[in-house]
Amino acid sequence: MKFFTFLVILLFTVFSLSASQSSLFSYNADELEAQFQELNELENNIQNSHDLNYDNLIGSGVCLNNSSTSGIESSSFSIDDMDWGAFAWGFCCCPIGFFVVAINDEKTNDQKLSYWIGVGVNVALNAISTPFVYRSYY
Amino acid sequence: MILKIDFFVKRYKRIAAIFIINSFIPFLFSQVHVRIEADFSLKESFIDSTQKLTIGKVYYDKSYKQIVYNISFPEKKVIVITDSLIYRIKKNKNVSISKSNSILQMSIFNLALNGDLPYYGLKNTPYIIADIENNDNQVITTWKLPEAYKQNTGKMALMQVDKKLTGLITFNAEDEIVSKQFFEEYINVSGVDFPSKIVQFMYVGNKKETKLTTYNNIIINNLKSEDFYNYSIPVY
Repeated sequence: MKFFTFLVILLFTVFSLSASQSSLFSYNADELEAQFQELNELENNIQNSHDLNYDNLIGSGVCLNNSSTSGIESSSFSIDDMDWGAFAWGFCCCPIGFFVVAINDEKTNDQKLSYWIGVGVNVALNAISTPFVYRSYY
Repeated sequence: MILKIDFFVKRYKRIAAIFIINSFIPFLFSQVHVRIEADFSLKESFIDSTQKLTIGKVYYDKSYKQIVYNISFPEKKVIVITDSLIYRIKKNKNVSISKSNSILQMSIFNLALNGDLPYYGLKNTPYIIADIENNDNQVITTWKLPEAYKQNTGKMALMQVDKKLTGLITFNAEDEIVSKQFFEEYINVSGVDFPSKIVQFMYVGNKKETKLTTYNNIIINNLKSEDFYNYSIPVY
């Protein structure tokens, strides 16, 4: 009788242990979805609009932790973002630079913008200097 | 003796040629997976109820031994993780460095490329299987360190469904759960099975932190984007 009782307890323990091990591998998917609902919306907004800036983010009403929000920078291009190599391609040799930078998938948007700024500066300087050069000849 | 060898070579030349060609065939047709890249989004929920969203692209090449995160949101920056250090680079100028506790060999990217993800790479570690539990198509294996290696490390429990890792629970030395990870929505890209959704819960006392990582546009062995796979840390 004692042995039978011991066997029942042992089997019960084994089954309960195995059940608990399996049940550990579960979580509430609905709870997770609800938890990240705001971030999911924010992610969709970012994917749909490429010009999301700090103001848009504040407008979205999502509370991000301080380390994130304090570090957010405007998506606008500044002189710090300038890639001078790409700029040089645009300024000095824009036909080759067009293939090296402008239509190169591996180049970032900042590099491509730097290239076009280089092209623009070159065109502007040429437009200013050409009349003077022309006048000095004739 | 030389004559005997010569005779042997002549006689069995054809067999030897077939044997040699045959042994090279697997190398000719097997594909080696060396690099992986993907778009990722990381959603985090912290103990103090704050949340954080990070979006970007991740690059990993086995030979360069660095994971490179090119982050586009919330701020543009590049994070390079090596076995010993983490580099945070802004505008390709400002570099901050901190110590890294991660082991790249155990990163999900390395494990997936090597085909070691089903056992979370534990077969290549001192961990040994302590228990196996079968439930229908689910297999739960419990891994423990041998006594000789035991310090403050607890057991690990892995769940596999259809030979794919779906869950990982890490315990501390007191058998308390430290973290739970769930690997879901596997996609096969160029022969590599990779979970496109990873949910992680980390337990700190009675509270938990949650991380949800999703991967899209996974590319294996992409020969482009070399600058990111082998990211050169700017001189600071």
